[in-house]
Amino acid sequence: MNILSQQNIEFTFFWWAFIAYSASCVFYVAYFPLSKKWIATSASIAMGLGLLMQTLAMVERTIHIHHMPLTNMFEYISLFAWFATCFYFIFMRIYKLHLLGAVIAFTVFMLMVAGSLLPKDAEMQLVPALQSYWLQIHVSVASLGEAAFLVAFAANILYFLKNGLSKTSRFASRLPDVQTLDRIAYKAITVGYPLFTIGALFAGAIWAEQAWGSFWSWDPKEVGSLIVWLIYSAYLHARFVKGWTGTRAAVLSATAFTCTLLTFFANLILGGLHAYG
Amino acid sequence: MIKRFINLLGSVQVIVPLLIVITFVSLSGVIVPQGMPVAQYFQSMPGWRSMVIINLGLDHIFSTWWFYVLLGILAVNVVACSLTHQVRSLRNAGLVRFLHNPQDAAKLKCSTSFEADGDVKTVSDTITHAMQRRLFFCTQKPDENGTQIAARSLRLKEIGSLMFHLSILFFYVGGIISTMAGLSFVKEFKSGDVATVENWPYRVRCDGFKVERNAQGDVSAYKSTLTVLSPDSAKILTKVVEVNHPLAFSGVNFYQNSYGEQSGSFEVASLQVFAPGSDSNGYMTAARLNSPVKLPGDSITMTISRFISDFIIDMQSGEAASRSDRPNNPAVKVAITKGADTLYSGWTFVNYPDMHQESKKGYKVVFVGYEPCYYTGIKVSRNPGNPFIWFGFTFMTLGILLVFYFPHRNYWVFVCPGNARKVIVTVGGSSSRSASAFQAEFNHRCESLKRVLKEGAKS
Repeated sequence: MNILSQQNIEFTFFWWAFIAYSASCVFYVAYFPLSKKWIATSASIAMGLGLLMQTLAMVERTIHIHHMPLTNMFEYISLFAWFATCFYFIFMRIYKLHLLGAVIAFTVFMLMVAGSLLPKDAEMQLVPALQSYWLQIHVSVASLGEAAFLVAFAANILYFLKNGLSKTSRFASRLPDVQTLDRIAYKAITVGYPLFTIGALFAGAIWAEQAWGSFWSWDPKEVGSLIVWLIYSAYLHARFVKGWTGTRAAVLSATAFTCTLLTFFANLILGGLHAYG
Repeated sequence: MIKRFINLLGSVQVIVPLLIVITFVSLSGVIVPQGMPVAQYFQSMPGWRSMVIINLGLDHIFSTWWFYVLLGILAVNVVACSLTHQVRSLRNAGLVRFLHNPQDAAKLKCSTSFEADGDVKTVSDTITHAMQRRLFFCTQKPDENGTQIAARSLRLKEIGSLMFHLSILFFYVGGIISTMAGLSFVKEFKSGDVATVENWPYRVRCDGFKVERNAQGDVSAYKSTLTVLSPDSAKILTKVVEVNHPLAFSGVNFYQNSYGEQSGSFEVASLQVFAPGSDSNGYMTAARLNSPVKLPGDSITMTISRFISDFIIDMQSGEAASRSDRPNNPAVKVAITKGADTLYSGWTFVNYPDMHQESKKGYKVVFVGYEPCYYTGIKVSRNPGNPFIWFGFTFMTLGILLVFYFPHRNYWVFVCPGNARKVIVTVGGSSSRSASAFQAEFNHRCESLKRVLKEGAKS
């Protein structure tokens, strides 16, 4: 099978995943006013199909390029969306909150939209700097951590909605209580923070030492990741020591996730050592 | 007074604003391009903005004195926090806390009560042993109403928190040691070059450099062959250094950093020679610098005597010179001779194949291309602080895992006399985990205690 047709198969899977995720969003939009369980179940099934299609797209791409697809922004955003969808199923199984699932599904869909707009050319030959097993460790663990932060962000969004809407509002009454949302955000951060610390910062620093001869270079992406880490550290510190919960904690957590996204897209503007694609 | 000051330094009132300030400062370091020439800032941002950037050092923010001061305050905060909060919480964690009565235990979110056979002493001892086998620290407190057992899990969370704080100090110490006692520079090697490193008894020689490409012509590897030589020039080891595969020897590391074309040199050049009477396409030949090549004909040789990578004519001297080290306008000076007779002599250019001299004897040479002679940029670094950085990684990883995944668990068990050689056991539990998550463990622990007590009563 020639390379072009292999790539076509991969893109076909990608677009099917895109359609499945968008279908899930449509179901969730219908779920908001109608509140029927079968609609939420359909949304979850669509998410499952999306995950399956995206998995096939990623496997196909791996076979096609002979290495894991982790080297450019399209590949990273696909992996990010894939992990976020995995977390969707984990948190849905634990908490069974369809509205939380809806926000995660919308965020995953937005990631897919962003991914669809990025150049999708596969890099057949890895540049020498990326020829290391640290690529898989660094990128995949960092992405997994960020996907957990996405779940926290989804809980933050619901928290702000719950707080912002009038208590008599019908929609607000369907949202989980603020304590539950706060706890979900915290749980997601306790999953994401160690992964992000180890994957984005430590694995990245160790790899940088091996490839470039220094753990830290104040590269824009490194500084961005440090900022994200500092804000989540401030969140956890304030929570442990001062018992910060509720709005203040949600603001810090949401700010940190916004910085995560900015750090990701900063590559497009700022370049630096991490500007591979 | 001093204690209050240390408490303030280590307080959350200092750390959170400090983290926010460092965040914003770092953010400005991301937004403002770093390390550009000053003139470029004035060019791209005319007016007060460039003045602010230059005067505050925002163009090299991560090496300004005030950024170091901020990091220093953070280090002091971490030390103060470790000395106050962390040590205190570790000490407090070792304290045994008792409840007043069984009703207090029953009020806890996780609690239960059941009857067991036996006397208070036997049942209390059985429960204590069972909990100790599960790595709980147990303390008994007998009184007139029965016995209370306070059981607490290992205080790994506090240890983790202390390790986390210490790891930050390890990073600082490692960074400071490497900055003060380390070295880092990039050395450009040509094949055969030998370099020395300050305070290092050995020397390192470059035996070659090559750029490997795949079938499509994309670069797949940069490889420098380096040999470490002893002080008496004996070969110690040879290694091919690639990106991600540095050479480490006796505390000094050599990394593949960069490469480039050597100015004034090349490996081999391709030339198209048109001899008088030959066909219109001439013939192709390859030549090295200063190495005569025999051409068809009796004793006719061609020699490339000079190579210039960015050819210009110097206006003052009128001589050929190179404007830069970049291969912008590669040119070679070629001579074709027959014995002492020069048949052709002149410059020929890759970028301008039609611009060449034609000799009176009918010869013409076109410079088709060349394989460059590369130098390799090797980063030489010695980081004596690295072991501390590794300690930092280990401590922080373990610290985070202990803080998040090893929560406190406290059990209070009241064993009070009941009816007819029976006792009433009241168990209450608390944890730093959420009540729902702890409830399952609590239930399991209580079932296990009941089973142990039942087996103890039978025997």
